[in-house]
Amino acid sequence: MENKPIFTIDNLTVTYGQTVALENINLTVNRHAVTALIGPSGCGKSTFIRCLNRMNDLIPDCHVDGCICLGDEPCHHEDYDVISLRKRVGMVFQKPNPFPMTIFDNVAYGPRCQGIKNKAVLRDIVENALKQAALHDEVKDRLDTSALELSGGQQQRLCIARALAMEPEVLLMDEPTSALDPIATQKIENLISDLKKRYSIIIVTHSMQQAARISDYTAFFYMGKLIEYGKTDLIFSLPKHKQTEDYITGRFG
Amino acid sequence: MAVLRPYFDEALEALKQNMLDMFDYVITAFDEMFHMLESNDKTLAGHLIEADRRVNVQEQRINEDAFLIILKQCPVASDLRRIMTAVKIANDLERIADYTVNVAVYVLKTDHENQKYRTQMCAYRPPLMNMLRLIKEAYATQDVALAEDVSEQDYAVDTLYQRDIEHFIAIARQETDDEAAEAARSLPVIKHFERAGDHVTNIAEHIVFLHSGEHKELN
Ligand SMILES: Nc1ncnc2c1ncn2[C@@H]1O[C@H](COP(=O)(O)OP(=O)(O)O)[C@@H](O)[C@H]1O
Ligand SMILES: [Mg+2]
Repeated sequence: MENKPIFTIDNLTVTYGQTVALENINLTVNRHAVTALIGPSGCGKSTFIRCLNRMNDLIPDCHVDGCICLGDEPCHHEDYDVISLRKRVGMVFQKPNPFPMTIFDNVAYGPRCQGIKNKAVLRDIVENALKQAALHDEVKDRLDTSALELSGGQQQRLCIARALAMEPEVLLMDEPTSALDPIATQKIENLISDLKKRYSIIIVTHSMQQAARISDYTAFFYMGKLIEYGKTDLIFSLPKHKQTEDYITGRFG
Repeated sequence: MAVLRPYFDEALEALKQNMLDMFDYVITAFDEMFHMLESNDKTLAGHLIEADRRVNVQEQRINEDAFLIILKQCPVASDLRRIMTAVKIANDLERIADYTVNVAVYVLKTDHENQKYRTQMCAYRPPLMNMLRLIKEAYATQDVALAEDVSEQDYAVDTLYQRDIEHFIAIARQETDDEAAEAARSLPVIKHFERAGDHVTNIAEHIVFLHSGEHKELN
């Protein structure tokens, strides 16, 4: 189980109306590892990770073809419960999006939706999630203040805590540090490296250095195609494809 | 495509030009060194010692440039290999140039009558000069096949060296003390030549790595 892939993607093709956003993607995502998705804007990275928790279901015109398995289960099957999928596969976005409520309520939101009412249980969940997100020390004395008063970096860690409170197996992150300053970015990067012991993480990033620093595997997308996928050390030292080389060395993009 | 990173490409180009200049300094020094051995020209010996400074300064400069490019550009893949191999090759070139200083000191110290082994020493001139010139070309044009070819030529130098060692051992056993003393003084010179060949082989390996990312042991 542990060394089986967390996601197995076969022949994935995604279209928005006439636009082909992803074409025939085959990829296995490893468990307890950080997988970075890189590629120029519009190459399909966001479309790809949105497929992994079926956020594309919400987009009219979006058509997904092919097979995506979470573990052994085909999670795009109509019988598969989307809510339970999103519980297993959490997501953090580019712009921190805390709900306009207290810090506590932000993190407790998901568990409450699932019907957990017991105050002591909720308190444990919130504390645990905030600790895992390396935010607890900074906010423990003001859990009942508005989340909107936090700094950008803190808000992003709060969003990570909110995702972790659902006890997911996978954390999807779409450019989670692109709106943050270097220190806040570093904190998130350290956090990602800590979290991979318990979760499988897939991160979209436009920073080559960030991908090289924190990921174990890297997938390079270009114009809706997966050009190259492999160990990060290899991708950044000796990529097999010229397009990969040209992109990571900044010759296009 | 190159327009996307004009400053980076410019810096890499400047680094390469500095490398080619350094190759030229070393090739010139080696050529003059053999000329010095043939003609026993002690003024030339002084000049060689002086000229080696230029090589050291050049290595320093290449190291500093490489450091700054890494600092500013965070290079990856072939860019990173280009910079790392420049630093390593510059180090080998600097070592090769050091031998010319040692040989110059040897010439300054030896008397006119003690020139028995000069012909033997100058036998290293054709293979070594050829290797140096070709390895520069292999670097300039990123020609891996040529680099591997050059490292093959190091066998010729090694063969000369083996022959000379046997010869000197025979002298030490059979000849007078004076003869043995001169042989002993000459031995380090040919040892330097043998080492210079090894450094050229190292450079060939760096060129292979630059191109393929493989650490391949040559020769
Ligand atoms: N909601 C949408 N409706 C229509 N087209 C979309 C939508 N989202 C993305 N696309 C198109 O799909 C392609 C891939 O986009 P996206 O997945 O956002 O790429 P990336 O995240 O790599 O920048 C682009 O051509 C984009 O215009
Ligand atoms: Mg995107």
